[in-house]
Amino acid sequence: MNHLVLFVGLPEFASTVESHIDCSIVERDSIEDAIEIFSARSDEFGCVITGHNYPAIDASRLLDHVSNQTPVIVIPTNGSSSLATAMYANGAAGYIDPDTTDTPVETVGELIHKQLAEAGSADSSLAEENKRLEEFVSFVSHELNNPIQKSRSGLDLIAAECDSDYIDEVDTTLDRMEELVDDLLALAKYGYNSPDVTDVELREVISDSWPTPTTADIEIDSSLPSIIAEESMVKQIFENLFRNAIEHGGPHVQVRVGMVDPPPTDEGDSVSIYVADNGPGIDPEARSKIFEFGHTDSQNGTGLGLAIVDRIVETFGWEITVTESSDGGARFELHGIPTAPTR
Amino acid sequence: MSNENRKTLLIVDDEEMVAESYELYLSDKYETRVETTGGAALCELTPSDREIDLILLDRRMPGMSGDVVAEHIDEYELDYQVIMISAVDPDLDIIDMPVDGYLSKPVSEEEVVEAVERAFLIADYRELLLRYNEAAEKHDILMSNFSSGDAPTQLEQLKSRMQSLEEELNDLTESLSETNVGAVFNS
Repeated sequence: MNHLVLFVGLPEFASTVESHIDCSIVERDSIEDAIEIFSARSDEFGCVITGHNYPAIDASRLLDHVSNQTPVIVIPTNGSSSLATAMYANGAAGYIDPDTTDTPVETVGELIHKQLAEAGSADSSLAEENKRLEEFVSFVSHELNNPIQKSRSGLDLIAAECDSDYIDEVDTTLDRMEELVDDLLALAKYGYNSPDVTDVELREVISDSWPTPTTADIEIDSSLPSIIAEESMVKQIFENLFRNAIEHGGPHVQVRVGMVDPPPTDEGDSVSIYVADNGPGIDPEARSKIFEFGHTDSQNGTGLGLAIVDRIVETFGWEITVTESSDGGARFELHGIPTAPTR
Repeated sequence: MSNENRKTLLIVDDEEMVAESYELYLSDKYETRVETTGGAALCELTPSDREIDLILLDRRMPGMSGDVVAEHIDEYELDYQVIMISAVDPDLDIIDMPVDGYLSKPVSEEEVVEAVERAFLIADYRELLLRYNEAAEKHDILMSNFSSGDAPTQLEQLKSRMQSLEEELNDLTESLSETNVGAVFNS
């Protein structure tokens, strides 16, 4: 939680309010200086209080530069109701006219406290919740790795001593448990964290995501662009989509990856990517359910793969849809992927 | 291969069954010993008795953990190869850990066998590199004392030894190129 308050163009007001609030203040005389310090240290400020005395001090310029996460309170000289409306429309969190308020200093002090408390609690409780969830999932998954290892070891020792059809069956079950734990860990890792984005060579990541060894076949469009994303998360998306195609389309399924529309012409355009297969396809009525946790029609599926894909896609702010491919299989489309500027 | 040339592995895991399965995977090619605690493992490692070539070390064990065992080995400069096997996902903390390899549980037979082979390849590479450098240094010193015209036969022998070492190094780099480490060497 940030307790630093930035005062802009309010020299007298700032020193009076300071004695009414229990947080540190930083003062700047001009909008330019305020924008400069805010850009450099934006996450330290819990609240911004600015004067407005057009044209010398123009609060709307500051509002344009301050992100929505930091509340801005405007204290005008010669205020008016139309000015108040304009400021709120520009994203101000509060508007206090000292000429029409009996106790402006106290009112501003209270408003600062309220804004700081609100901003802090909303952010930190969600972050804490996510952290707890991530820790829990990670803990459980790791605890499962030990018994799986023990069972795997025991089974291999049994297989060396005797022969039984049941050995293969248990072996397959253990593989499935391993996959499930991997999925849960991926969910903990990617599902609740904000991505760390860089330029990602899409074609390279996609070919790395293709499972080996496999008898299935993949064809990747050679003109796929570089995109802006977190590589490990993109890899997880394609790994899961490919696994899904093979699970449902069988060991000889053919998968194609390409761009939905012609390549973007301008730098920074967004792009849509499809992953299509020639498997049995997905029943139109089931399409809305496939991204839900635990949903699976496959004998071997964990029911988490596509849910994780959906989760990551949401984290990036992209969109995923599913339709039928030209040869009757499933076709997933990822929309709104920002491309990296070409070097 | 005769028993004398076989390398010896020390397998350390508090789960006896897990340790035994590693033995099963590896006993075709290597001599194996098993310990189920970190303390007992350290007792096996005495500088005077160099019977063990590589240690497969469980990370989480009651009493002395694998981390502590690895630190002791490093501290006393015992110079064994160590592969850590753990159900704890590797975190940034393994960067400073004095180990030659890291596997995440559950592990398969192939993973264990591959990790051991790779560790020995790297050890061979290090050894060859040392011998090559030694020969190259001697060669340089001698060359500065003799002009190439009247170089004695010993110098010629040294040259051919360097050449064969170089070939061996190249062969080894090729086998390593299929591993992560090989990618680093070839870059």
